[in-house]
Amino acid sequence: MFNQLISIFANGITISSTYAIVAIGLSLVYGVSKTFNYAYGSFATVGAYITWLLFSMFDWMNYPVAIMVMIPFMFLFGIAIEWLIPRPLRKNENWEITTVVATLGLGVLLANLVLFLFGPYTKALPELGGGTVSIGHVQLDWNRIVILILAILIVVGLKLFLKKTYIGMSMRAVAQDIEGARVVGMKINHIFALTFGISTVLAGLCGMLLGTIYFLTPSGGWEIFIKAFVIVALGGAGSIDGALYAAFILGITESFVQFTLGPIWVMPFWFIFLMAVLIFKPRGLLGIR
Amino acid sequence: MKLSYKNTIIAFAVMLFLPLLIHDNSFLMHILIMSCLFSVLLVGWDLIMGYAGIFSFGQIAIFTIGAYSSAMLSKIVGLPPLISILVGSLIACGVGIIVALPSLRLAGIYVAMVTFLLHEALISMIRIGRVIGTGGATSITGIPPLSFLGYSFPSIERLPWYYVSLTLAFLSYFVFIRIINSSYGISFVALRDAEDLAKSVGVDDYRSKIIVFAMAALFAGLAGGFYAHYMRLVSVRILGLDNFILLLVMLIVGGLGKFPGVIVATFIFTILNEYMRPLEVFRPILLGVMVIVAIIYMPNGIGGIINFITTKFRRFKRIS
Repeated sequence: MFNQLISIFANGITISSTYAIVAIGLSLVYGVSKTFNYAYGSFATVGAYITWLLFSMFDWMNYPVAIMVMIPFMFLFGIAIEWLIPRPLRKNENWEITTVVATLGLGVLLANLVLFLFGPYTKALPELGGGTVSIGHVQLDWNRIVILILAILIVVGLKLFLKKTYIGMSMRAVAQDIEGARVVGMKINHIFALTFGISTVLAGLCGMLLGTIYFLTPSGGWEIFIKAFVIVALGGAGSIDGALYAAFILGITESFVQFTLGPIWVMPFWFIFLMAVLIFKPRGLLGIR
Repeated sequence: MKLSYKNTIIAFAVMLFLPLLIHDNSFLMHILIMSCLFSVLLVGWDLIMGYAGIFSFGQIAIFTIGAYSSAMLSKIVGLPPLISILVGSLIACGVGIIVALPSLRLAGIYVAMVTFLLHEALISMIRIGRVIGTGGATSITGIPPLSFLGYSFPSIERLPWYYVSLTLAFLSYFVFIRIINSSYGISFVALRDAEDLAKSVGVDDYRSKIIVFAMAALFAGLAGGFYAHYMRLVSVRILGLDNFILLLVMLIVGGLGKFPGVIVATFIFTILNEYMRPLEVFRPILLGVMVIVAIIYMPNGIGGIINFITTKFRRFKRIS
């Protein structure tokens, strides 16, 4: 029993680490440009299917190469989407609502495009690392350990990028004071596009990592998107550290819900949790406003 | 700008006599009935999203709650359909209020997400509810048809259904025109156009938003109940994303906050949707493209075009 609890906990941590990546991406875009992207989950689906396509096209494909191909692809894809949808809409008066509706349309479009291109059958990505490792009596998959390591690398890399580099600092500057940033001559639209591109890359990476645990389905992205949002709401919109804590709280709780009540209760759990957050802690754990 | 009842009354009169021409065409009658029921849902959606500025994506979920509640109450509990529809719509309204109370105080994006998550969670809840008779992942079949004072509505003959749904639709239009013309409507327009000023003179948006949200939910629930008894079958397929995007296209192409536009768009797209069925998977793709294109290039939608023509026409009359 105790070993079982430990393994549920360990699985919860690996799942949480992938949720953290996707939630940070969502929170980053919201923090910088106040744009809320409903197609975000579909971006994760696109990333996962791109990886699957690479593996099915080339026999010699391995994960380092796949990641190297996917990152620039997702980045350019994100920048193109930003240029096509949120940018022309931002000129309008009530751009917040129109962006939400337009990206929701985009999300449905992408999910159905994936359905058309790859068919309705579930697909599986190869594991990141085979076999298991036992610590005491607890068995852990190598795959999940590699996911955790990669996720930590991504989060640490992103935080360093935001703290140390010039672009990262200008992104934080825009998040803090958009008018001030404009006054000192920053190109706001470039920063928005860049942020959107980075968040798209994060969504793609999350889709890839989750694809090694679960099967890929064309509409699976919506679940990722919803979870990312609840995490952002609990962590506080725009806060990266908050999203990190919230991802682990929710991911580990989710894996216990999944074990005790069954996977069908997962979506109601996220709904009830979001309602509870909005009632008791509407600004989240570390909200910036 | 106040909305007048005149055009709606004219439209009602036209619709009243429309079956004289087409009552033999059962397929067309079916489409018109569906358009009427969907337009009830969509007028409410337009009221809360276009006028009150609430980003709600839960209108279809509430419609479904109304449909399932009424179906289960009449089939399992054995209530007469008319009462089960009323109780079902009250349940739908209650769920709407429960969702609205915590989220309407917060930024719009939270409402969008809570309502979207309600939609997604409802799919799981219906599957879990198999034990209490929600039919799980399949459907509830054999829902009793509507009966009124001992007259049971036949399932083959569409005409009585047409008049019932038409009455419901126009009842909802009149209620919504009434709300938009009331002090609530004026305060919403004020909040939409000059939020800070409106709040500084003491316009309380929270209470009026809750009331309007509840009204829209009540009518969506009513439409859902009628839908269940008309189709005599409800399934989780109503909550499918392709259906969601279809209704969203109707709302956006109709024009947010441009009253008659959404009704016109409902009728156009319910008909168009039937002809798009052979496109299969391209249908949702095309609908997704339509949403994006319409919101970027046609932000006022059909309603904007209608308003433009009527103001031009009025000016023309004044000059001549």
